[in-house]
Amino acid sequence: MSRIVNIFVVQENSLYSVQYEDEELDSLAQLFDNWSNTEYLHDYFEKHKDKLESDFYNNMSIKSAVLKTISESERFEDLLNESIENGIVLDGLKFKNLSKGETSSNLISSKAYGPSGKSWLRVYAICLSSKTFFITGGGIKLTKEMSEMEELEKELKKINQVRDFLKENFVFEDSDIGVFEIDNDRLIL
Amino acid sequence: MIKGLEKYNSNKSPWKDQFEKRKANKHWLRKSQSIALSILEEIKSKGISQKSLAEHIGVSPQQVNKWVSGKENFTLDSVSKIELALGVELIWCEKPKDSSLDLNFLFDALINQSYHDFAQEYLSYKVGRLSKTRKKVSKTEYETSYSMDQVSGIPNLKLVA
Repeated sequence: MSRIVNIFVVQENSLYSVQYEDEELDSLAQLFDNWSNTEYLHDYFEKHKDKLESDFYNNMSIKSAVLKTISESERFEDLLNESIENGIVLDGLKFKNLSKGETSSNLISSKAYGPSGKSWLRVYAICLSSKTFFITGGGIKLTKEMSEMEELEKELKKINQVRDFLKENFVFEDSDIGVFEIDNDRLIL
Repeated sequence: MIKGLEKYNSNKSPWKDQFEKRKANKHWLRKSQSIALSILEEIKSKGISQKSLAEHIGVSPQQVNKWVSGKENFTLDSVSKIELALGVELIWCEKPKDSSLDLNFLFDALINQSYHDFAQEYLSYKVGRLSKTRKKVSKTEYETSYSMDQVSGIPNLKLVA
């Protein structure tokens, strides 16, 4: 597993983003950089072509999947930016629990959703003291369960890695840790 | 405040700057992404590597990598070179001549002009007939009309089975 090398500020005292050794950028910047990169997305959907060919995605073409992702990504970061500028990163995000089996017992596992539509983009974050979020990574979720895609299984490992890192490096009440999944479908401003 | 976190406060994530840049350049980035996708689909269907395309055109592999990332502000010169190398047309400027247009053109127009949400919705509705057999759908099967909103520039597609 890739080592955590740095933490970057997105919004002081409320939103931070973790950088790993094998990535050029911090997690948030890396995610949106990837989600606007046609080659990255084309390769990703080519790898998961079988999922796009399922009835659920109505045999969606790779090209359509790439364009859908770029469009959703733009909307996602628009909403995220607006939320940050209005100082409502925390209050503005509605969270839904990740399945309990996917996180350890002392974590509050949640997802956050935006206004409408069917987005497959996810950002994962750990929350300390109900106020400060640390983005651990994210991905394009094409299956119902995270465990069905190796990329998202890796994200689960990163969540636990960051949780351990935070425990080792910062002073806070252990019971205040939460794990969140954010997507732009239910990101409420 | 979480103790120990203050030492990271000088590390600013580049996300915000990158976001603003993407937003400011959104219009031409869409065109770049569309061209990049066409290049990617063409080289993959023809089994050409990015390296061999670079050698054929006389640029570095890094340059081709920039092109296919969809983040390059293409020049007409580079587009022309790629078109000649691949034997395809990547951009065109012709306006629709009449209302009975080819469906492939209509869908490409919708997708290229960022109206793929609509296209997606439409494809989902007609997917059984259009997804794999787009080329088989003809004017004889569907009554088509196409117009461009003069103010917004948004294509308006009507299809009746």
